[in-house]
Amino acid sequence: LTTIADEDIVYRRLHQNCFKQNGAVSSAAFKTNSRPDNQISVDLARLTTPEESVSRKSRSGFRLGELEAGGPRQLGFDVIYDRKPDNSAHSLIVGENSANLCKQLALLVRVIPDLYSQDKTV
Amino acid sequence: VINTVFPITDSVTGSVDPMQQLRGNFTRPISSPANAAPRGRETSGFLQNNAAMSLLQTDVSPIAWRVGLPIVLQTHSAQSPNLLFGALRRILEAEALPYDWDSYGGVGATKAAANRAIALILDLWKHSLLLDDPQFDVIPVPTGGIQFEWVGGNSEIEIEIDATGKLHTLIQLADGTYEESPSDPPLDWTEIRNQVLRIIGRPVGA
Repeated sequence: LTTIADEDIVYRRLHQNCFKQNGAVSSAAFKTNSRPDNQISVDLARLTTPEESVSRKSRSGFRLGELEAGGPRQLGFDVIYDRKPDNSAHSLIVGENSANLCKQLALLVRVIPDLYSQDKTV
Repeated sequence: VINTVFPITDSVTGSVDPMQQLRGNFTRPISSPANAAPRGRETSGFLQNNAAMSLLQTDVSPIAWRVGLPIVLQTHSAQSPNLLFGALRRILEAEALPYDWDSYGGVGATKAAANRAIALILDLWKHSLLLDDPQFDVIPVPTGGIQFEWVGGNSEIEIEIDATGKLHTLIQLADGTYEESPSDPPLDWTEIRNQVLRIIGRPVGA
């Protein structure tokens, strides 16, 4: 069983559309179309690498944001490990979500500099 | 108040058609009735843009649009036509986003959201609220909506047009607190305008 400590870092891919003109991350980056709605996918940093995480979908146009698991927990979320067959680092930020909380999650994100996804399909 | 006139000319002649800015990847010109697709139809996997065309043609004040005639934008000088066209383009781009564009299963903006966003942009323009100071952003929302965001000196406002076209706001005040509009009932234009005014301070010229 993999537990996630508050100090653990999780990664979230950030599409270029989710950045504002001033470089800040929009709350839209945490509005998810998955089912159920209140689960936000992230990667547990210690089980992957930034390069692998940002390019996991093999498409260009993404950057990588990182945040400490304790941040979402302070907002009332839980952060749990959720291994997938194709992603051993997959984890979830789980909890009742709202526009307000998406905004606060976005404010917790640090964008990793000079890291961009690679299009592996070409 | 100034009038900015964009010449509308036949693209065959090589002249500038400002609506080209909106059409982006459209495969055929639709600036004349002869070339226009039937209303409500789509072509080439990209928004046919009838919604934008319709609004630009019929939502006449302050934009007067006549096919084949100049577009006259009557506006305060602080409102940049480029900001208007840029915002409309971003809306159309949001609608054209493919499934999983965000790598987490996100979808492009629905037609309902895009149409409401276009109408809202034109309302903002009409009321001299479409400014880039404070900074204004149009952001696609992976749930099928579109978000407008203003970042002021110490406060911010987000207007989310959800996938059904309903409007919601989130305000971050200078003291770090948040005000989120109730999900039901959704906000109407008057409430939106008042909230935008509250954050950006004033209508230009007021």
